[in-house]
Amino acid sequence: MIWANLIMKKNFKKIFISLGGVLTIIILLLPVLSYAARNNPENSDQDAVITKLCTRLTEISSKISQRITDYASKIEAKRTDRSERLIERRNERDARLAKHRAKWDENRTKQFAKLEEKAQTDAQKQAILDFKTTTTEAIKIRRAAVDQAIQNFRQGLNQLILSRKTSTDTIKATFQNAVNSAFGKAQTSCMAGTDPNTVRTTLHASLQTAKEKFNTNRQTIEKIGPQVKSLIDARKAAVKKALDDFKATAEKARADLKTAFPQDIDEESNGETEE
Amino acid sequence: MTSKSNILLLIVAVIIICGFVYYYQSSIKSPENLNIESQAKMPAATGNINGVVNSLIEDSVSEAVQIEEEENDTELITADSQEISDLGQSYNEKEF
Repeated sequence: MIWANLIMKKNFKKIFISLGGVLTIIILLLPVLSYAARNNPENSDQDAVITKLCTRLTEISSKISQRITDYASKIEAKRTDRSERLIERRNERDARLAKHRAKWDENRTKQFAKLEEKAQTDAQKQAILDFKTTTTEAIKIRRAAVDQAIQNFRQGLNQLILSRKTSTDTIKATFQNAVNSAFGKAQTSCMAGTDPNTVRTTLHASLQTAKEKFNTNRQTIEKIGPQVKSLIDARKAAVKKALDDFKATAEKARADLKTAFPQDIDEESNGETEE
Repeated sequence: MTSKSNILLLIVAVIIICGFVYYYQSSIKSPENLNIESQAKMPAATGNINGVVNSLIEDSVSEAVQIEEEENDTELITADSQEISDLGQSYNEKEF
C-alpha cells in the first residue's frame, strides 16, 4: 500500500514536470508561430480582406453620415416652409376676419339707423338705445371669445409643432449616435483582425436595430391625432359657447324691443338683402 | 371636301367645348368669385326688429363658419413626415 502510494506520487511529479515543459515551449514559440501564421499566404489573403473591409467601413460610414446630414437639412427646410406658410395663412385669415367684421359693422350701423327712424316716442327711443347698447356689447364679448378661441388654437398648434421638433431632433440624434457607435465598434474589431464576416454581421445587426428603433420612435411621433382632435374640439366648443351666449342675448334684446313697440313694426318684409 | 369640312367642324366644336369647360372651372374656383359671393348677401336695412336681430345672428354664424378654416392648419404639423421617414432610411443594408 505504501509502495503503491510512492509510485503514484513519483508519476504525478513526472506528469507535472512534463506539462510544465510543454507549456513553456508553447509560450516561447508563440511569437514565432504568430509571425509564421501572418506570413502564411492564406493569412495574407485574410489580411487583404480585412484591410479592404476596414477601408470599406470608413467609406460607408461617411456615406451614411452624409445622408443623415442631407435629410436633416431637408427636415429643416420643411420646418421653415411650414412656419412661413402658417404665418402667411394666419395673416390672410386675420385680414379676412377684420374685413368681415368691418363689413358687418357697417351693415349694423345701417340697421340701427333704420330702426331709429321707426321710433316715435321717448320710450321707444330709449328701448332702441338699450337694444343698441346690449347687442353692441354682446358682439364685443362674442368677438373677444372667438379671438381667444383662435389664439388658444394657434398656441396649441404651435406647441404640437414644437413638441414634434424636439422629439424628431431627439430620435435623429439617437439614431446618429447608434450609427456612429456601430461603425466605431466595427472599425475597432476590423483593426483587431476579427473575422470579416463577424464584423459585417455584427455591424449589420447594430444598424438594423438602430433603424428599427428610429422607425418605432418615428411612428410614435406621428400619432398626433388625439392631440389635434382635442385642439379642434376645444376651439369648436369655445366658439359654440360664444355663439350660444350671443344668440341668447340677441333673442332677449329682440323680445325686449318688441314690447316697446306694441304696434307691429315687423309688418314690412324682412327677407330683403342688399348687394 | 365634305370630310375636310367635317374634321374642321369637329376641331372647332372640341375647341369650343374645351373653352367652355375651362371657363366654367375657373369661374367656380376663382377666389375673387368666392369673395364676391360672400359679399353678395348682406341683409338690407329695413327698420324691422326681426330683420335687425336676424342680421346680428347671421353675422355671428357667418363669422364662425369663416374661422373654421383655422383647422386646415393642422395638416401642416406633419408636413415634414416624408423627410423624417427618409432619414431612417439613411442606412441601406444592400451596401455591404
